[in-house]
Amino acid sequence: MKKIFLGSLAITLLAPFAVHAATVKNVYPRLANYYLRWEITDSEAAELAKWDLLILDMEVQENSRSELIKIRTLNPGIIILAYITSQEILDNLEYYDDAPLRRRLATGLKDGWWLRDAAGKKVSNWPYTSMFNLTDGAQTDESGQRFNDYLPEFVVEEIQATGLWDGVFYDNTWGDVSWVNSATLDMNNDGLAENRADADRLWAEGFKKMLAKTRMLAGSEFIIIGNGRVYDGYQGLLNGMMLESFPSPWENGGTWTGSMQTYLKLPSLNLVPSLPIINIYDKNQTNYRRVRFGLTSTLMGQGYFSYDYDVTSHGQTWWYDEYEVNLGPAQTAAYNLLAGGSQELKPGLWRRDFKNGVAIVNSTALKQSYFLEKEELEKIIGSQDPRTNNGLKINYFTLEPQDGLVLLKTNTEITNSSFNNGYFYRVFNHEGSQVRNGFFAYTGAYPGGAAVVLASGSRDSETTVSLSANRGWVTLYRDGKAIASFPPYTKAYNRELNLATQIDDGYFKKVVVGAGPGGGPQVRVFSAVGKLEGSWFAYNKDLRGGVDVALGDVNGDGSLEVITGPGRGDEPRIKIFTINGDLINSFLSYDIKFRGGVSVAAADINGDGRAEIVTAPASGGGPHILIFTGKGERLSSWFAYDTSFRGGYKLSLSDLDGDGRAEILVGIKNF
Amino acid sequence: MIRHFNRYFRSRWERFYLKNHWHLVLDLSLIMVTIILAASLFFLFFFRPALPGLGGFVRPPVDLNNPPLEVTFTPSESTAKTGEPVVVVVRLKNGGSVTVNDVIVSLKPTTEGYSLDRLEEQVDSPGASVKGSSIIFQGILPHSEEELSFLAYIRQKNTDTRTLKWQAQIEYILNGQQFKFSTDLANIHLAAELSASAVVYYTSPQGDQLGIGPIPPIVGIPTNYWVFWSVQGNGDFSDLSLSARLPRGVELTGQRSLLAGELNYNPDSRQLIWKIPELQVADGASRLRFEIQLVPAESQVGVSPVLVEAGRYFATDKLTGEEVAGRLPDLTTELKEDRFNADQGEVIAE
Repeated sequence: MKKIFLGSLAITLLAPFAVHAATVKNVYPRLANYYLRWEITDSEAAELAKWDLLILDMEVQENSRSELIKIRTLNPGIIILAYITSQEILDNLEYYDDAPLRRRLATGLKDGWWLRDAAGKKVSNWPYTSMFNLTDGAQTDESGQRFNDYLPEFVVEEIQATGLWDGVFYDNTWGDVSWVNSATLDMNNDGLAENRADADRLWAEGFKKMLAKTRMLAGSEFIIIGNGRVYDGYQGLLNGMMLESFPSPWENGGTWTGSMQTYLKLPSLNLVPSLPIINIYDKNQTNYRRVRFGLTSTLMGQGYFSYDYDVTSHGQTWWYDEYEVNLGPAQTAAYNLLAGGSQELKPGLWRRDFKNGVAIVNSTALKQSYFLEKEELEKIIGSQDPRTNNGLKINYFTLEPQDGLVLLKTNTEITNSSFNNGYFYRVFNHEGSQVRNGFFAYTGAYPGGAAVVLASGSRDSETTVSLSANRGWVTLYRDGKAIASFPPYTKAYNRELNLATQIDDGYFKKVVVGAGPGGGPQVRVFSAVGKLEGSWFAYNKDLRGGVDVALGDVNGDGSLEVITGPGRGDEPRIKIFTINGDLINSFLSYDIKFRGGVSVAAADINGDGRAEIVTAPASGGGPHILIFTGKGERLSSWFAYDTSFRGGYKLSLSDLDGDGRAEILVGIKNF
Repeated sequence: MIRHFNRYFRSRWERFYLKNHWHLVLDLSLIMVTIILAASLFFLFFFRPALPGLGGFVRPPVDLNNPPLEVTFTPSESTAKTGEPVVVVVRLKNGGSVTVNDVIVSLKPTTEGYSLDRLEEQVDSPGASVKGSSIIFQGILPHSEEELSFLAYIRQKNTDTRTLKWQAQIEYILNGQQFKFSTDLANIHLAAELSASAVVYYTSPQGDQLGIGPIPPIVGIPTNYWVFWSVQGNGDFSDLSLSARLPRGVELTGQRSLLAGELNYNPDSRQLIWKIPELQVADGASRLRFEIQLVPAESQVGVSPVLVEAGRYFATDKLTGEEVAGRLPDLTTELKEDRFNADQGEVIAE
């Protein structure tokens, strides 16, 4: 007990950094990596940080401690579990230099804790390992402990106490054992084999005691995941189970339907947070169909998906195009398209809806085609299996047996960034790759062509506010209805306006207005209630090309800067001002002779925590997109449309996929 | 004056006439002769003898403030379409008693950016001819009229001004004397041109997938297309209305991008109507893009179904007040403007 106390103290005081209660991300897909190498390299750590949940061998804490810390540093929200076999240990551990924890575990083992057959011979279920007797029939040591006492204490003292882990992954959490060793197991060391029923009952009782003790010692926030055929009697002590080799031959009849029944019921049996895991493997890394089948099956529930080589080698960092998708939170339970939306589990074409897309899996033995009535979805854009993930918008699909699809909902609007209502926008990432289909950003509530900002945030379920700027007037809307208008310049000014806004959780905090073509290059800053807070000319006030405006913290000082692009007729100089109009920096975006005007936008597009400045020719130039830091250093450049197209471009930066990095939307009025 | 004359007469009386009465007689005689000579001179100055052979020499009186030649142009106000001639009738009326000769009517636009390309007689007239930008009348008898209907071809260059001001300079000879005056013609309002286009795409000209569904279309499976309507004028228009009909089997999906006006659809008549109250030249082209869905029927196998038909448009030219109308071609699944999917319109069974 003293050891336990010390262990707990160590968790509190000595942990290299605090591991708080694991939080489960509320967006999908949730990805797990069952990575059982005893050492990990620095580059592997960087790779592994991409997953949401890792099951790493417990030896990693000894062999690759810094890498373990690095993973958590790179991905603070990650859940890392220590893998340990619950019922066996390697023989001949003296030959394994890189297994200090196993050796330490072995050091405390007593001879009476091995599982033996009636002949007294150690039982083995896996090559080069010997099994423990988890039952209370095992002998006690001098302090009265059995292995089902010893293992929980080891986990708490040696694993949890390091503070490196969120929990433990007990492999082989079997609910029975009589199938091992042809049912000749001697559970109580009396030289006689128990009958099957007794052996299984004793095993389950002893195993449950071990789990209960782990829970008691480790506390309710320590994650405990099991692996193996799901035994309901343990589930109240666990946070989840891994369904390895899905659909596992040993699980509920070995069918997809059987495994899914188990998978979907686990959250109701497990402790919170419930973390069921589906592992599917194939020696062929490029068996994309199998990846999709496993992933989309997993997406029917709330669990994590893992794909790797096979049961003999869980240790790959295979990454798939579908993993990049952010489907967002789930919006429905799984339902069977072939059965009128029924949720009764049976082979079918199963679908689940998410905020940003849908997952569909064909669990039947037949190819299935389905028409999406009055619905448009979009395939993801992937490089691995371009026949499937070709980015096409679809209204019907055909799925082979045991195949799945991750589809995205088509974009129709841009939130939290100014766009021109009715323009066509292409969607790019910061590297210039077109990541989604282009679309007409149009909302009928606002005038066609007007600059519009739709505010979005966690509060937008209560009410939605938006702004439009058109013909010299800025109008505020609530739930699509205009509630207030004001002219940011004079009432006589009735030309286009450019907008930039600061949005705080769905509400406007600042509104920056720039005159459109025909107006002077005057910037005006308004508060949330429309009070004029700043006004200045960003360029020669005699020019009448207008001025484009953007807002963003481009220098990382925690304050927003106003970024301006000149209108037609002036040199292409980008200027950065404080919110009060003090010039901070300026630089040329295009050739100094270019006089077509520059469209600007600013947001964090690469996840570095600072806003980047994106520019495009406002007229008369090709679709040359440039990305700058706040210091004017060019980060990248690329062409958004056909290089000969000179129609002029409008920019909008919005995080369409919710990954925290804004996508670059390049708009045109006409093709 | 009288006193001076009396003093002069008295001094002469005392000095000459009292001495010799013949001086008085002589003076009176000389005075009479002087008066007679002056009266003769005055008479001769105004004498106009009506002698045979000397008639042309006689100039009838001409009121310089109201010359006898009256020139009018009709119509009083006119409109014309760019590139098409303006029909003008020039009428000359000689209200005087003398023939007006060698009348030359020269026309010249005074609005910058316009020039007169040429004039053409609309109907031949024996008494008049056209030469360059002038009309020539040989003579107009007293109290008679001459007129000529002609076509004026106006050239417009580098100007958005749609109201043409022009002037006529009239030269003629009357009584051997050349007269010249100018008069403004009524303004010509050049009718604005309104162009409308309707195109259907599955893939945008830049290569973006807009439509959804099988290409070529398959019986029973929906295929969505995007229709692009565009109108643009070189003048301001009001009450623009562009309408078309959706054939059976084609429906609106509700997806649209409306940059001006409003779109209404009557499901009973299957009529689409796009209305724009004001179409201003400064705004450039007005555009409407909307998505339609075709579900081909068995009977359409092998054909390219019509997607949008009976397209028409109307608008009122705000300057001239005239209605401009036009028709749009039917749109079919042939997708003639879609360089990625053209000629993939014929419906297949499956």
